[in-house]
Amino acid sequence: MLILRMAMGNESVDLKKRAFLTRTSQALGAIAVCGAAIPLVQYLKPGREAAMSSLPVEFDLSGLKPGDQRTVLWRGKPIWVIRRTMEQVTALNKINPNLSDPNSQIEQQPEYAKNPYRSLRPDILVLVGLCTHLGCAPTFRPEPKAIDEDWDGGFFCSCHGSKFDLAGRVYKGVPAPTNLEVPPYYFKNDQLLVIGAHEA
Amino acid sequence: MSFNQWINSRLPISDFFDQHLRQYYAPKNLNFWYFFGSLAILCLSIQIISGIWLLMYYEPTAKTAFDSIEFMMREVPYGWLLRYVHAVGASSFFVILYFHLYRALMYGSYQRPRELLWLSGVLLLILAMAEAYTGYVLPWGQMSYWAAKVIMNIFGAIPFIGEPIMHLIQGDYVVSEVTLQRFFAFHVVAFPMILLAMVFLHLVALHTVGSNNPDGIEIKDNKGADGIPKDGVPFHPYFTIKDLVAAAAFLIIFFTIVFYNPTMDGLFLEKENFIPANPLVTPPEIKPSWYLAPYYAILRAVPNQLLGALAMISG
Repeated sequence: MLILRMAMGNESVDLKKRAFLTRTSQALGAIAVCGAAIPLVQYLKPGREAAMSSLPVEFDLSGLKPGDQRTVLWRGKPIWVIRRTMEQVTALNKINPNLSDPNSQIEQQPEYAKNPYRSLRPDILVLVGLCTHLGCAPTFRPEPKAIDEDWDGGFFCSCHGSKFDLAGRVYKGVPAPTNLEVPPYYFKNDQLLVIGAHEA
Repeated sequence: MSFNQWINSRLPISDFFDQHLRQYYAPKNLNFWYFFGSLAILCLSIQIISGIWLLMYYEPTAKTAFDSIEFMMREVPYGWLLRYVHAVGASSFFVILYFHLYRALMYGSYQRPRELLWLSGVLLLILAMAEAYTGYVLPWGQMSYWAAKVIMNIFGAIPFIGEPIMHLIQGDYVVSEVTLQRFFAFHVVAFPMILLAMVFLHLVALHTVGSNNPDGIEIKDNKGADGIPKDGVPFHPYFTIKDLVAAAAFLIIFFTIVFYNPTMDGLFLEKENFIPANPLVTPPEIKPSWYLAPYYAILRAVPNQLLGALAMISG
């Protein structure tokens, strides 16, 4: 009842001491809450199983004819493998004024894909098949004039209308900010593609 | 006009806290027995938070339930901690509830005008048991399965309508995955919602009639000129501070158990429950969780299926 008498207007209340005790308990309480939050937050992180799924995957190119597109799953994401025709490859060389980053200045590809084809081999294109706007999977539309009058073939995202050419380079005036991402990859031999790792 | 005033004139949060904490007067002679109410709220919060986290990896099917929990404990960061917190939390909840109930019996807190406070508390205890029982089935270990079976057969002992009721509850002619999935729905959604609503009503009743005290004095009968009970002190800060000390002491004991003996040598988590459910073999020693033991003892003591079940329920 000592505290009670002090609270009832006794002159001897040491307000400084009381403020000190209040602040110390608040600080300790805050530390306790942070400590309790550690396991709760750590628990939410991707686990070891998720890390396992990031191992490289292999893809056999022998069945892929010029003009074909295949989709492979890597890290839960669609990876496109496309064998472009000779005409499509040569068309990539003339710089289209409607592209927003034609020379791949923005880091969206490994160093070896920083060329007009955005690929190791001019004919084989490997891309992460997710729009750089909000992550939808665009559609492969190689036929000219398929989307509009100026369409030379490429990828069209049906979610918000972003357009990319046959090297995954983004057009101007669409919501997507950057070119499509090129994942790390290399050729084990002529017919075997490894996605998810650089050449050792 | 301050920000607080702006909020409060539209949504009276600080008025509410004033009314129920700063200007809620509790008897000044409350002793340590009165810790257990707020500790029960602490336990319930621990159960809800750890339960939400467990739900993120638990899979309620007969094939995956056991393995998903083992996966969580071995592979998910701190999964073992959250699982053991939830399991030890269940037992601690009953320790706290039984102390809380004992306090009410000892000081006559069930008497006029606190009859409904007592009755809502009894309902809360039954709900907590139902919640604990359905939760115990979810890991789908040997003890989960056979405990589920025994309790289901108690329903089956009701004359005439027993068997249909049993089949209705378990959703199958035996305890199976269907039972597991509906117990999952009860444990995770239905019972917690009812439990929280009942806790709210329990607190409404408490704040209407006020706490009893060891001397049995009605503090509302002796008010000063300002209308404040002479033998009362504001709940906040006096009892919030006191309860915080109790919470700290409780958490020290709680986490000592969680870290050093989470199964409490088989009392909180029986070792048979670390074996996946097998409908062909009953474990040699089958007993319910300790907090249901007195009722189970009554059931076993009466050599008649129906009478035993009746005695247990009335107990």
